[in-house]
Amino acid sequence: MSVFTKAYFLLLLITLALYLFKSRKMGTYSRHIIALMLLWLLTTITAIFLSSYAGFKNNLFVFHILTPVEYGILTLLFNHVIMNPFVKKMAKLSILPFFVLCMLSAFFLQPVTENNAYMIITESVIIVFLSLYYLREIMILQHVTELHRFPMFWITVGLLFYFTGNLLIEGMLNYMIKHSMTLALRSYRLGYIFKYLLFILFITGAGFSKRTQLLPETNYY
Amino acid sequence: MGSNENDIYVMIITVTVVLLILLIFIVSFLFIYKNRQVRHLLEIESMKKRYAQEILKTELEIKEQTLKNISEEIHDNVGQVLSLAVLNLSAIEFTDTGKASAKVEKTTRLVEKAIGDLRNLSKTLDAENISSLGLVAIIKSELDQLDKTGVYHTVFNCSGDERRLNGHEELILYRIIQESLNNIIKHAKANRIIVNLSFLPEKTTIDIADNGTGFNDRPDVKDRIYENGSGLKNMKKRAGLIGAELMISSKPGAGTTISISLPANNQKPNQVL
Repeated sequence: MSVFTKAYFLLLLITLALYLFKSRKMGTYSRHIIALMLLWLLTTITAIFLSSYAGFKNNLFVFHILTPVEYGILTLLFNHVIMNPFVKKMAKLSILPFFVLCMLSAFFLQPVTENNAYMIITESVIIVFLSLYYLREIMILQHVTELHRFPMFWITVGLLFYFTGNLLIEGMLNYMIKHSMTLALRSYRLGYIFKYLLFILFITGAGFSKRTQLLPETNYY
Repeated sequence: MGSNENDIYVMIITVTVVLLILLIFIVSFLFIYKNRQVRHLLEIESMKKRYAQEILKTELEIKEQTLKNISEEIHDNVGQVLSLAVLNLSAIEFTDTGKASAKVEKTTRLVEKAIGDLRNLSKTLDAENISSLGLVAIIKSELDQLDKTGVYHTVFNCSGDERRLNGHEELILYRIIQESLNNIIKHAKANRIIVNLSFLPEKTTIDIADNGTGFNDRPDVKDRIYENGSGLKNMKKRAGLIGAELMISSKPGAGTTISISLPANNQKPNQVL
């Protein structure tokens, strides 16, 4: 196991433990984050087990399963926090088509033996859009007294950071794989920066969870 | 290999730039949010002040109108009756006991009428006792006053389950009704006034209709009427203050109707407080 993976595991476990510990004090959104952490933990362990212990040469199919489930959890998270009924509905309704799209992509575009870059890019674009939309809502509604102490702000920023990075890396990954596997692996490892940042921002959010203060909600629609 | 290393440097620089952009985004977001929040709070404060000032102004206007009504009542009614009583007393001839006794009797009736009128005057509404009486009693009382003049025939219809509105809502609605009735007296040349008050589950509606001269409700004519001091602009503004909607419909020769619709408490999108 590389140093990058060890650091990833450590941060993942700290984040998961923190959210499990603070879930009662935090909003319902903490459940989505816990589900996401558990999913990542499970897929990472499975991927490592398959490649290192079970003798699988290719464990990329695990990530073909991870992407739609991860998308489902995240859209449900945004469906829970976003207030615009139309965006909420669209986010929820997009889960099934995304699942179907993932399956079609696995059958016809990028088989399970390849990296599912197209679907990760699609997912990243939608999550970046939802993150930006939610941040816009926070700005307009002004229902948070101290924004830097509002966990969902840090969670959203973390997701925005992470999926923007994902977009960049996954966008280039297929091109790099064609040119050099070493370079592709190096750039893939760069993706860890975004993962670490995501965990740090999630931890920051959980750290402030106790003192969050919300003003009565103002409906502006 | 050299090319690969160059590529990885480009990648590192790109990631760094993206991170920097995102960090700047976060800092700017927090900064803009804070500024917006301060502006938002100041706006709320100023709205609260404006609202309080408007309520105070409404109360003063109601008081002023009440004093005007009292002074008119004293001058036109009580004053006249008492003058007549004085005239009667000064004309008494004590030589003719029968006539004198009749005049004293007549004077007593006049003084009793004056006392009755004064008692009614003491019941005249002002801002303080509106809250204790409620909208229905207020409207009834206003229409009774007009009925008493003999110039107007008034009709009041109340439907639905009567409920009390909050103090500020009743105060503002009362002032709007008062102002509408004033406009009828001043401009409408009407002799019939109908007021309909409906308590619906989702809203409270008030319609004040007269059979006066009316006016053309083309937008340009309406604008002119709004500007010429008839108080319509102010009435509309005040209605908005409590989340109510005020509409005016009129036709030349067919009278004017002022309709106010106040949503129930949970359905007020424009309410300031």
